[in-house]
Amino acid sequence: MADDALVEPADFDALFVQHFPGLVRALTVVCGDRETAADCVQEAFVRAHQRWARLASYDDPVGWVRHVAFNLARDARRRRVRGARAQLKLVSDERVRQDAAAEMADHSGSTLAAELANLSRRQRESLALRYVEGLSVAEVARALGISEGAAKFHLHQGRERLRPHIERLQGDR
Amino acid sequence: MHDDDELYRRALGGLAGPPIDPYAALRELEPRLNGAHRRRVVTMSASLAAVAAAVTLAVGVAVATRHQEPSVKVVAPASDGSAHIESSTPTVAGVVSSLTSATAAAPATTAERNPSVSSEAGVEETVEGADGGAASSAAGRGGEVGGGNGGPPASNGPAKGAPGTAGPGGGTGSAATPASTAPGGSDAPVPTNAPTTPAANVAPVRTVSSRGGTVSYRFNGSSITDVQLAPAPGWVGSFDRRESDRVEVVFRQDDHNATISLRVKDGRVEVSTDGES
Repeated sequence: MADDALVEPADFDALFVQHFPGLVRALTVVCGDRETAADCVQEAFVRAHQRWARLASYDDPVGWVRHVAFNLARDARRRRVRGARAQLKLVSDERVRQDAAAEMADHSGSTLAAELANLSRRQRESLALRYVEGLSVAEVARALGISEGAAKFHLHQGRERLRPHIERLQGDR
Repeated sequence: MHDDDELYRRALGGLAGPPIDPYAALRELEPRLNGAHRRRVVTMSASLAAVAAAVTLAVGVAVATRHQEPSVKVVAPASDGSAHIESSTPTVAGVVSSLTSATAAAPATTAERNPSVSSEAGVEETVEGADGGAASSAAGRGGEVGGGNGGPPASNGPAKGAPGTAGPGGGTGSAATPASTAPGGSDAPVPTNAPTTPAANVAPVRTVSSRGGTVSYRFNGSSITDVQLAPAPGWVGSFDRRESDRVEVVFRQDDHNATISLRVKDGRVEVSTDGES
């Protein structure tokens, strides 16, 4: 976020070029699907472009884009889960979560991804914003609309859940 | 702790996939941005066009309403011979009709419009369109019906569609009902709560004129309806008989009487006048 100072707020293209990759990568970690993440971030930027006259005056226009993209990703995930539920009407939510985890593992080929899919949404979002997009804890809290303490809590919980897998990966290297 | 952060950064960064070329992504996005912009422009243009059309219509209706005069109707005689007056202002349908059609301003003669109406010598009879044009010709704006002897004469005869203002009530005792009578001489439209008649499926208004005044009515093929009186200046009109198939109207001035009789016979209206002395 420190790089935001380099962005001319009125320049939509500059904002896009600077933040699109980070947003897509962070959202990929959150939703587990790179294509979905890219679609959501693109859609968010299209909406930002439509409202650019107003957004350009915002202190943090990319925060608006991120918020919209994350919401779109949540909607996409809900649709996916709803579709899975429609197909497996008698299967519990746990089964759906396991399926999503397996799907994510298929995409990334790692158990870390599977464990990430089993985290709560807040934990995934906190970790993605902190370690993929590179936001500070305060910025994570602001982006998610929660307190800094809550952000720290989610980050801690998420880290502890992933720690065994991270350490295993480290040992493998 | 810092090492931990670096570990997580690398591990989650690996899950996020390979680096992204933002310029290629921007090029890919540009058609969508332009399309969204075009849609927005089209939507705004359509909205502006709709607003402009609405404003134009509103202005047209306002102008037409201002130019359309309210009418005064004599619809029922009281037991003492006086007449009850109702007033009405143009309906929305009438206003729209007047905007789209110029035919309302030109009444046609009976022979041209309705050959079923018969008339006798000395009787001027016209049939006008059903959109309210006759109502305004039968009585003028804000006019009173029935003036006493010696009252100030009206400026124009009611049959010509001009203000049919007669003098204030005189010695005959046949003044109109005060509650529904417009203030004499006022140009202000008469407040209306009278029912408006639908423009469609209504028989045309016919008028019969005599020296003492004008009678307007509608004939639907079997009965005479909406009979209105418009006495000439200095004359007082009243109903001597009022039935669905027969109407007799007497206009009086001093010792002079003028009677107009309407009678339905064989699906036609026979009009006669007498007492023109």
